Formats: sequence, C-alpha cells, structure tokens
Amino acid sequence: MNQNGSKDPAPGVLVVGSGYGALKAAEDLSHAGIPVIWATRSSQFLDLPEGVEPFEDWPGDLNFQFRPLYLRVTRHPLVTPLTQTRLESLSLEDGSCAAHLRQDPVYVDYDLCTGCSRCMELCPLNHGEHPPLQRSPAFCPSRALLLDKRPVSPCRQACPLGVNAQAYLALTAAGSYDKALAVVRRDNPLPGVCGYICSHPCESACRRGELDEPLAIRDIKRFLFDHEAELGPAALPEPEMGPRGQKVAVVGSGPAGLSAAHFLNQQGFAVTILEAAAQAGGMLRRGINAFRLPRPVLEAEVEALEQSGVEIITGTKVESARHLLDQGFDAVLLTVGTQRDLRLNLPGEELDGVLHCLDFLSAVNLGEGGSVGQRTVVIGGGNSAMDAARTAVRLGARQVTVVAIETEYELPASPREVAEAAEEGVAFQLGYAPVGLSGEGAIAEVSLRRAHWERPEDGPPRIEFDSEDIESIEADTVIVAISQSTDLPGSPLGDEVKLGGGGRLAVNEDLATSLDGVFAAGDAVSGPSTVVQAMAAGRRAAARVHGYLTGEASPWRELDQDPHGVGEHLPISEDLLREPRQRMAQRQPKVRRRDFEAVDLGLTVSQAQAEAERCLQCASCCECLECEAACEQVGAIDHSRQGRALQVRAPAVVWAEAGAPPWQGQAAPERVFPIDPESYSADLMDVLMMGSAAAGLAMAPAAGLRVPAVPAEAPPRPRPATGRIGFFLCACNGSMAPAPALERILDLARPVPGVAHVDSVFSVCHPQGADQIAEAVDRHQLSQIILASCVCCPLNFQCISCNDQRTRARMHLFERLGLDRGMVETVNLRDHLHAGQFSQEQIVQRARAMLRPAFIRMRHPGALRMGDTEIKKRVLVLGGSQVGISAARNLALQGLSVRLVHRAWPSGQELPDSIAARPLDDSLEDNITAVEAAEIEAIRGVLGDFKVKAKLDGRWRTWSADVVCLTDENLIGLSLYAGQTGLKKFYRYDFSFFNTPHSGVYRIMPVTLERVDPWQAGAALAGEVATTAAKAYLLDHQLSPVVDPARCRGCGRCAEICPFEAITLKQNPDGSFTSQVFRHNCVGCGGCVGRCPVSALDIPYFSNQLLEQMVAGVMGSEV
Amino acid sequence: MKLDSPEIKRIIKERSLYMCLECGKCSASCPRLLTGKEYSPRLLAHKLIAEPGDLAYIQNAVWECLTCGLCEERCPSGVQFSQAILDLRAELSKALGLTGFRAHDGAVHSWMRIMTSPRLEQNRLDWLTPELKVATDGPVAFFTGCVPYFDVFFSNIGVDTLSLSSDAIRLLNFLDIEPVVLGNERCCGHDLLWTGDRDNFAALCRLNYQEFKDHGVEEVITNCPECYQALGTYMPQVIEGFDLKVTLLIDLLEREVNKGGLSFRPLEQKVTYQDPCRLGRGAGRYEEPRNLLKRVPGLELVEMANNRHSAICCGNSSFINCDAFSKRIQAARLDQARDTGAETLVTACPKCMIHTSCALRDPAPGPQAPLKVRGLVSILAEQIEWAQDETPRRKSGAGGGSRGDKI
Repeated sequence: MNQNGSKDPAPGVLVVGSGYGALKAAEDLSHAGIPVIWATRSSQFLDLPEGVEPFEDWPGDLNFQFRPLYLRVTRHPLVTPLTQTRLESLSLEDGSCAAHLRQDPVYVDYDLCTGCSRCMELCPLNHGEHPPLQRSPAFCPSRALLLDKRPVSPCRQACPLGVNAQAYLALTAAGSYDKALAVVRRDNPLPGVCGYICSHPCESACRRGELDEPLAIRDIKRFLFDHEAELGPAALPEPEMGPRGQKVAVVGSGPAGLSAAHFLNQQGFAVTILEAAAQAGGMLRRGINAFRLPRPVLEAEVEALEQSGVEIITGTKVESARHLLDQGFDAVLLTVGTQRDLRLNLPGEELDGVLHCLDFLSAVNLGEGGSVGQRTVVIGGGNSAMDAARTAVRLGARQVTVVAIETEYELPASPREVAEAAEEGVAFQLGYAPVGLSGEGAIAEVSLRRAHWERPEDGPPRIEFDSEDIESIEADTVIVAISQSTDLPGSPLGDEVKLGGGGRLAVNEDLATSLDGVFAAGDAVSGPSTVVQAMAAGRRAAARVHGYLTGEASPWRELDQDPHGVGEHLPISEDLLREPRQRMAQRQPKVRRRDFEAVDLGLTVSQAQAEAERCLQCASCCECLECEAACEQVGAIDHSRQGRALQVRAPAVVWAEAGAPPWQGQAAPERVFPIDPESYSADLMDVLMMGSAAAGLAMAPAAGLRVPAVPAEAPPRPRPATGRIGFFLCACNGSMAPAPALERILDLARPVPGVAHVDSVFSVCHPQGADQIAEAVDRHQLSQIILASCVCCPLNFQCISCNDQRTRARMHLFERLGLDRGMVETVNLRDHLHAGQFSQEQIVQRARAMLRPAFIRMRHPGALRMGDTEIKKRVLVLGGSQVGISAARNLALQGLSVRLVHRAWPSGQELPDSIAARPLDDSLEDNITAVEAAEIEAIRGVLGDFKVKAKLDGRWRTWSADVVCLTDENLIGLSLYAGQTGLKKFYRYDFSFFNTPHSGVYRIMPVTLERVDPWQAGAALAGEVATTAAKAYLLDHQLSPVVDPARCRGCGRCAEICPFEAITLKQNPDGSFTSQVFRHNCVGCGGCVGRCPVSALDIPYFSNQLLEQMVAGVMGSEV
Repeated sequence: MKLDSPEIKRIIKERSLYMCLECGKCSASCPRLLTGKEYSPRLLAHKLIAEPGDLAYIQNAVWECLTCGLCEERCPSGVQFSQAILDLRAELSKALGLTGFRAHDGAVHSWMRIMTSPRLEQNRLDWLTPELKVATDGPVAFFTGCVPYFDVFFSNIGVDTLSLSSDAIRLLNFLDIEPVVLGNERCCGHDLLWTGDRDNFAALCRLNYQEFKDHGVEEVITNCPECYQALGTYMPQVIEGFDLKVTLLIDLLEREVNKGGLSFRPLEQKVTYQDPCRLGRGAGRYEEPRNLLKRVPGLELVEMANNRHSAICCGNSSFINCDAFSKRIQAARLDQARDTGAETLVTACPKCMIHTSCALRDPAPGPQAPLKVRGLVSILAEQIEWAQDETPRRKSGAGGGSRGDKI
C-alpha cells in the first residue's frame, strides 16, 4: 500500500470523497470483502465535503469516536487509501468504470512516518505563523506529518543557480547560521563573492516588495559568510563522490570556471584549473574593485576550493585544448571569459589618456599601476562603468563624469552602484552618446550628442540621435566602459575551436565545442553577464562534462526542470506590518572615496536576524532539508517526491464529494452511487445510512471482486521452544529518550536471567525495524520477546487511543513477518517516559518500573486463543416491506442465499392489517426463496447459527440462518430484550444503526423510515448485512475469556455488563445456567472477568493467577 | 509432599477421623454432592488415613468443603469433620501457602488482613444515628463486625446488613442497655480462621481484646453467629487469661422475653426461617430464634423441608468456593423457601442475608418470584411495643434503621 509506488491499484470499488458517509461506505465494502480504492482531495478522510457545515447538535468529539473505525478502514488490507487525490476523469467502458486519478506529491509517507516528531523539532519554521510541518488532526489515527510545500519561492526561481534563499533566510532567522551557509553552498560555492557583489535577481523577485521592500537577501548571505569567517576559514563540503579517476581541465578561474570546477570536484573528478594570470579569480579579481569585493573574501573562497581538492595552476596560459587532452585530461572546459574591451571605434580613441575599462581596472586591481587625470570622463552605463568611475574618484580625479546613452532609469548598472557613485561625487551626463574624442596628442575633449537606444523588435538595438547639436565636455582622461569581448579571434586557442559571433566560443546544445571532449561556458560563450549567471553557466557545463564522461544524468537538478510544490504561494497576511529592510552601515562618501577599503560594513547579528524574519516564506516549506536529515533512517520524508497519475478500473463508484460532479446537471451515471452531501444537514444517522446505501448498491456490480477471507500475508514462523528472551527497545527515531538513557535501559535488561539478546530498534513501526526484530528472533533462536515501544496491548483497533503506528508495528510483526503474537510482551514505554520532563536517572528508573512486570511476566506466558468461526451465507429476511424487498433483492444480487418472508408475525400477536393488505411482490429474483406468511415463535442461536421456529401452513418448522433481518415494525420485539435499547453497538465506534442487541440480528427502526426512502434503507441494510454475511470466517478474539463451568454460578452478571453481546447464558439440563462466550463477538476487554464475583471467567493470556504472580513479583524483590 | 506429619496425625486423632465407618451418610447428606459436585467427606477421611500421598485430592477436598456441618450431624461415629477441615486448612496453609479459591477476587479477605495493622484508622461509626444510644466506655459492648464494610462492598445486590446492628442496638436500648460501640473494632477474624490464616486471625484477636480492655469492657454482645463463635470459642484459645463474657443477642432477648420484659405488636406475615450453620449446628441455637419469632402476634412461622438440624447452608462460607454448585444449593434452598408459601425469609446471620440476596438478585435467568430477606432482630425491633414516650425516632420505616453510606 505504499502510496508512492507507481503501480495502479487492482480493481475495486472507487470511493471518491471524504467524510462520515464515505467512511461508512468504505467500511461496509471492505468488511464485506470487496476491494476499495478510496481517494480524497483532502489530506485526511474525515474532512467533510466542501461546503458542509457540521450539524450543530453533533458532539464535539465526534471525530474521535470515529477514530477506531477510521483506523480499521484505512488499514484494512482491501482498502487502498489515497489522500490528496483528485478524480480527473471518469468513463464507462465495457460495463465498468475507468477513472483517472491524480495524486499530489505525498512528501511524508504515512506508511513510514513513525510520528516521532523530530522533524518538527528541527524545522526552522515550526514556530512561525505557518509551520510547514503539522501533524494530521488528532482524530486521524496515523498522526503522520503533513508537509505544506507550495511552489518554489520567487527568489529561488529568479536565481540562475537556484540557490535556496528562502531556506537560508529561515535558518538565519532561527539562528542556525552555519546551516544557512551550508544551504547556500549546496548551489553556490562562492557565497562570499556573491554575498558581496551578486547582482541579486532574487531581491528583484522578492514578494515582500509588494508590501514594503524586498528582503536584503544578498546582505544576509554576506553576513553568513562574514560570520563564518570570524570563526575560521571558509570550507566547502566534502566531495559527494569518491575519486572517479577521470581528469578535467578547466581553463580560466573566473566565476564560471570556479563554479564548474567545484561541481565537478563534488562528483569525484580530478579537476585542474589553469589560469593565465598570476592569481586565480579571473574577472572577479581583474574587473571588480576591492572596495566592493575585498580581496580576502575572494582569496578565502579560492582557498576553500583548493582545500576541497581542486588544483589551481596560475600563470599558465592555455594555447591548445587538444594539447590538454593529449596530456591526459579526459575533458576540457573552456571558461576563458571576455578579456578584451570593446572599442568605441570613434576617431581619437588612440589619443593618450583614452583608457579602456578592463585594462584600466585590472591595472589598478592587480596593483600594476593606473592613474587618471583631474577631469575623467567614463563612457558607459553598466556596473563596470560605475567601477571605473569610482576607481577614478579614489585615484584622485577631481571631477568624474559618467556619460551614457541611457536615462537614469535605464542604466544597466544597479541603482545602488549608481547612487553610491553619485554620493562619492560622480557626475552623470545621461542621454548622450559620444561622437568624437579630440585633443592634441592627449585627450582634451569628448564630443556628445543627445541620443537614446532604439530597440526594434526584429533587430539589434541601435543608437538614435535626438539632436544635431554637438556638445562637448573637457577631459584629461577618458575611460571607455562599453562591454567586453573574448580575445580568442586570432589566438592559437581561437584557431583550434570554432568561434561564433563576436568572437565567442561556438557550442552546441550540449555546450560542446567543435573539439570532442572540449566544452565551453561562461562569458566566453554568452558574452558579458553577471557573476551568478556565469556560475550557473559553469554548473550547466559541469553537468555536460559529467554526462560526457559518465553517461549519467546530471546530478544537479535545475529548478525549471523540477516542478514541485502544490497550490499557491502563502498569501501575504493583512495583519502583517510594513517594516523597512535593514541597511548595512556604510562609511561616509567623503571618507570612503579616499581609499579602496570596503564601502559597506555588513549587517550586525541583530540586523541579520530581523531582516531574515521579514521573509514571507512564500513556499511554506523552505526545503532546508533539516527534516529529511532527521528522518534519514525512517525515510518517510522525501522532498523530491512527485505527484502521480493512477488509472483505476472499478465496477462501481461511490461519490461522496460535494460540488460539481463530473456528470453535472445530469442523473448520476449507472454504477455511480452518490452520497448526497445534503444528508449532512439532517442527522449523523442519515449520513451513515447514505454511506451504507451507496455501499449496498455498489456491492451488487462488485460482487465478482469479493474475496471470501483475507489471506494471511506470511505463514506463521515456527517458535523456538527454549526459554530465550529477547529484549527490544524502540528508540522511536531518537525521540524515546536520550541515547545514554536508552543504553542504560538496555543494560538493565542484559543481566536478567533468560535474556539471550538485547537490542535497540530505531523504530518498531517501521518495516526495517520489524525486520530487524524478526531477524534477531531467527538468529538468536528467541522464544519470547519483550518489546518496549509505544504498543500497549495486543488488541486490534478497539480502543479509541490506538494509533496507526501501533497498528503498523503489529501488522509488520505478526501479519507480514508471521511472528507468533503470543511470544511478544509489549510495554508502552513511549507514553510514560516523558523524556523531556525528567532527568536521565529518572527516565531509567521509570523504565525499570515499567519493565519489571514484563520480565516477571515472561516467566508466566499466557496462551492466546486463536481460531475462527465459519459462517455460511444464508440470510433470512422477515417482513416483505419495501425495505425488506430492497434488502433481499440487493443481497440476492450479491450472490447471497436469501429467504424472504412477506408476512411474518410473532407468536401470540396478530398480523397488522396494513401488512395483511399489502400486495405481494412477485417480481423477485429466482434465487430468493419467498414465503408468503409465517408465524414466528422465536429466534434462537447466535450469529452464524440461528434457528428460527416458524409456523406455516399450520405446521411448525425450523429455519437455519446465519443472519436475520427484521424489516417490518411488528417484528422488532423479536430482537430486543427487556430494558435494552440496541444502541450499545453504536458506541462501539461501529456506528452500526441496524444492529440489535442480538449480534447477527438486524432490524430497521420505524424512526429511520420517517426520513429515508425505504429502497435506500433496504440497500443500506443489505450493505450492513453483507459485512457479516459475506464473510466466510469470523475471527475469534485472542483475548476472549474462558468460562469454568464448575465455577460459573450462571448469575448473568457477565452478560449484563458485556456491551458486545459476546456472552449468553446456556441452560443446563438441571435448569441451572452457565455463561457462554461467543469469541467472535468478544473484544477482549475483560469487563466480564472483573465483574464475575467468583472468577469463573478468565482470560488465559492475562489470567488472574498471572496477575497475582506479577503483582507479587513487583511488590517483592524480583528483577 | 506426603501428609503424614505428626500434626496431621494429631488432627486425625483429635477429630476422630479413625472412627469413620465408611458408611457414607456424610456424602449422602453433603449439599455439595447433592448438587452434582463430586465431593465426599468419607473419601477425604479415607485418603488422609490411608493415602496421604494423594495431595491433589486432599488439598482440593479440604478447600472445597462448606464447613456447614451437616455431615457431622449425620455421622453415627462422631467424626468432627468441620473441625478437622478447620485444622487441616491451617496446616496445609502452613506448608503450601494460602490456597483455595476466594470469591470476589479475595477482596474480603484482603480487608480483613488490612485490619491486622495496628496503625489502622477506621471510620466505622458513621452509621450510628443520634437516636441510638451508645457509650464509648463501659462494661457492656456491642460488637458490630464487618457489616459496615459488607453494605458498601455488596451495594450492587442491595443488601442491608447494617440494619442488623442498628436494630440490635435499638433492642439493647429498649432494655436500657447503652452498649459501648468501638470506633476501632476489628473484624472478628472468622473468615481468616476458616480459610487457614491463623496468624492473622490471632493478630485480630489481640487487637480486639486490647480494644475491649482499653474501654473497660467486660461483656461483649454480638448479633452475628460467626462473630459469636470467633470471639466466644476461638479467641480464648489465642488470648491467655481471656476474661470476657461473650453473649449472643438472641440469648439475652430470650431471657428478657421470658421475664416478660418485652412484648410485640402484631405482624400479619408468613415467614420461614433459615438456620445459619454457625448458629444452629455450630452453637445449638435452633429454638431460640423460633421462640422469639413466635412471640410476634400474627406472625406465622412455616418451616422449610430442611430445618433445624438438617437445615441447608446458604451456599457459601468464608467467601471461598462460591461456584456453580453454590448457586444450585442456593437455588434449591430458595425453592424450599418459596414452597412454604412464605413471603419473607428470616435469618439471623449477615452472611446468610448476603448470599441469599445475591442469589435472588442474579440477573439471569430473569425475574424470580419475590421473596424478602430480613434479619431476625430487625423484625423484633420493628414490632417491639414501646411505651408511649419511649418510641424512638426513626429515619425510615420498616426494618430500616439508618445506613452508613460512608465508612
């Protein structure tokens, strides 16, 4: 039943929707042996159909009352429960229905979730407004976690690397800075560089901008890096893969090269970076100023990359990629960047004092000199131009003017750069294009014309001049900063590989160049871009290299190929207050313009915290994966799960959904049986009745699918006879108690005489945990087991406090693995250790107190009663009302043997005129044995073996039946004892409203017929009856008591107290009475044993004597 | 283990088991056997003498006996069978522990053992209503026994054994006796003694004796035949220098009636009388209760088929062995009572009241012919003729007295 498997379920009745009616329908169908596929859009099965308001008079704890039933249905072997599943289409084919279902991704597998809740403890968002991890509602027996995962947040989507900004903001807000930084490094090996100078497309996408201002995401990243740097050197994660033995050369150490090298290194390739310059960093070092990117930051990151295993060889210019291949590299990646400044191609560009941006910046940045005149004009509007301008300021220029065609709002440079440049005294002459440079030997003047960019749809942008006037500004230095191109054309490398437009490297869709084994990425392929885009390009190329060398798919999923999340982003609450973003402290412009020290000082801890808390957490779950780590062994949480499509073939469909059905406006198609949501407005009984009616009607077409008995999953294992005890302690995935306490509890068990094996199990309710126990039983030849976990009793689905995990532990151990139930003594430590409240010593002492009786108990194993009662399929329907005929026909259609008595009356009563006058229905199916009229003396016997004495045609005869239905009002007296209301069963959480105090005798109450259509009621009755009559066997309860006939006084107190009608009094020949237990009715509660004044009833598994011995042992000094 | 210790031999000798002629009259009269249980006093005697190795049989038989004494009544050789059982239970318990099957999961015996604690603090006088005149110190005490506990424990069968005590005090007050009622009295220990627990019986005896002495008591009046036997017969065996006078209330009443000090108002009712085993065969009081009943004008006493020496046990003794056969004994006895046509079954023992009430109130097989169960003293207290100014103020009418809901 793993809901994440891709297999389509076997045919069964499809129940669509949730709520009490659907639950009842699923119960009746599955308990009548018919497979059910139950699909609901909700995350749990008691969610009322949309728009349905709970009836006012319903008790507040109603859902809890349904809990045992819920558990019994959803864990029934014949039920395939599908939550978060929509019906996409429904069609009739070949006499059965074909349905297409779509299930949203189920991130927490409720077949595996142990409910340990460690994930919730670790989730950084767990205490916020929208905790992404929540327990399913308390009445939902699995209590499995639900993960609210919305579509990926815009910031992450906007990041070319897909860095999970939401997660590191969440972790920062939670104070987990190291984890936050590790999240950044998952996708970005240069958090420091990007923290300082990233163009942060994430912030432009941030939804907080709709409310006040976008998050300062980049500044937080910088904070995280700086915070780490204060504590020690930066470090990248260990490679994920061991060495593969394949070598990759990366040519160029700019952002693309560093990124590609890192990701390839992570995958186990031996990576060598070859850098022409004396120091690594490429454009990061040449082109970006130290006051924006302090050199220690860059150097720390390059150092970290080297530490993680990447070899960097500087001062080596690669002239031939082929040569590298010949040298033994298995692949080469060219990330050589754009090293050549573009020229204006204007007259006078050769004059002294006319510089080009990259030449200028790299001379300054590499410490090779660089000076400017008093009046410096920078031509260009990008970030490089700003860098050049601000560098000129720092080199002493008195007047620095930026000339650009763009207007202020069009400038490609980031507004922050522009603003900071302006603060430092840079002047702007915008909307002008240079048309000439002039001077006598050296530059003196720049001629400008008003212009703007024209961007036609079908061509490259071009400059449009707006005026014929030529203006000019004086200049001692001109810095041309209008972008760069590669320096490949004409170079040896450029001759070796094919080049494309603008001298860029030509690559195919696999980023491969014309040379086999040689790939290219970064600005050399795309032209100048941003750092983060270059890094993303580097990773994409790494993926191609990886694919080329291994033939495997990329280990790095790009977000655009990874659809996940359900629904919409979290809404922005109206209660949310506007709050400005935190700003880094900044040195004053007049101070900072004097040197090349950093301009910004970074966020303080409290600022970073406050800023991170502003995050809206758009996707709810931030995918920090903290929970996945906590759940590693259990494996219930998997953020990468995908939704799935299922195809279902169903002989019938029960429709319990509100809203527009697929057959909107028309009558429901044949074989579709709706539970009208209108019934919720009436009474709980009506809803349940509708559920049963739908089930009853669906049973006829589904009769062919019926399985007579649920086959055992595993044959019982032989049980070693020797007295070898195994002690297993469930760690509940680390949440039972601290590890040292668990170890001490295990130590308590080790020296106990008879103990042959002691071990802890990470989670007993997990398949692997159960496997571990079964293996140990075999290996150590254990004859008995003490299981200290959360399982408190050997009962099945009876108690309202039972849960899915306990049930699963039992299902795995006893049904799947076939362990003998009688060999296991369960101790519920989980609910009693209260690990959070007590010291280690107290925990151990509590465990000791709980475990002592179990060890004493091991010496007195009690026997479980195993067995079943065979029943046949004979139904006697007394009363030919519409209900009776409807029930009889439905049961006959299901293939059951039905005897219908049209007119019946109890002995000593008259047949009411209304029944006598009722016409006989002569259109009954052949397989119904119809009797016209009979006087009924009494119904004797028990479920599966009723004897009904009836007089017809003046002669008495006795009919045998397994189940009896009373469907005329005049007969109800046959089912009721004095003083009994017949509703006790209702409170057994069965909600079986046709039951009488006499198990196996069903009746319809007149009050029911006041509200419900009799044909519907008959179908519902048939559905209920089939849950018993269609079974081949009724299983005995393992804890049912035995009666000592010599001791039993026949006083009847046990029968009086038993709410399950499991005890009747049998008359002995001498007239005295003795109690008799119907083991298939018994639930093993032990009420009768407690009530018996003379201990004539006893449960062998928990005998009175055994309890006395245990009490004596506990009070004494044993163990 | 073989039961041939000197102690067992002494019991065989002292209780005259050697005298058994194996005539089988005992078995033929045993209510257990008559209701279908395989039980034979004769065979037990035989086993003890001739096959002491058959421990299983002997142990079972020793614990299964009702100790009703009917076999002894019939024995032509004077075998003291019940006394032998009493001794054997003590002896077997010494060797094998307290076995035997206790009804009500042994709760009754547990509370009796709890009472052996010297530090026990009981609240056992709540049932005393103001019109009942009692003293805290003095020469004459009334021994209440376990009735305050019974009424709580057996509340589900609606038995009112406390009325026996309140009516007894009412009658004593009528005779101008204001008895001491002790707030920290213990159980008399009868049931512990008869289930083999002699140590705890002795502990109760010592505590009770000390309590009597501390309050200056010289004479103890009791209304319960079991208490009478425990205090009068067995306590002196435990307490050295025992110097209390133990008086049965009906003896006192009979004396006063004979003196002419009591007269009764008429009661038009047909009643039958159940002889308690400890009162009849145990203490030889067959006629005293009957004589008292006959003093009530209009009251018609009709006898059951088995009466006086051949009366049948209420089905159970000392809260052990209640089982299917007990129920049959009770059913048979109640049938006998109904056959007399009486509307009330009168008895003089709280245990008989409990056991007959229980059988009458069994939910199965359904409603039975109505039969009231009343205590002898309650009828007497109800019908006694008070002088005009002496009429005690009663809380409730018939037989009532007040019940302590709390102990």
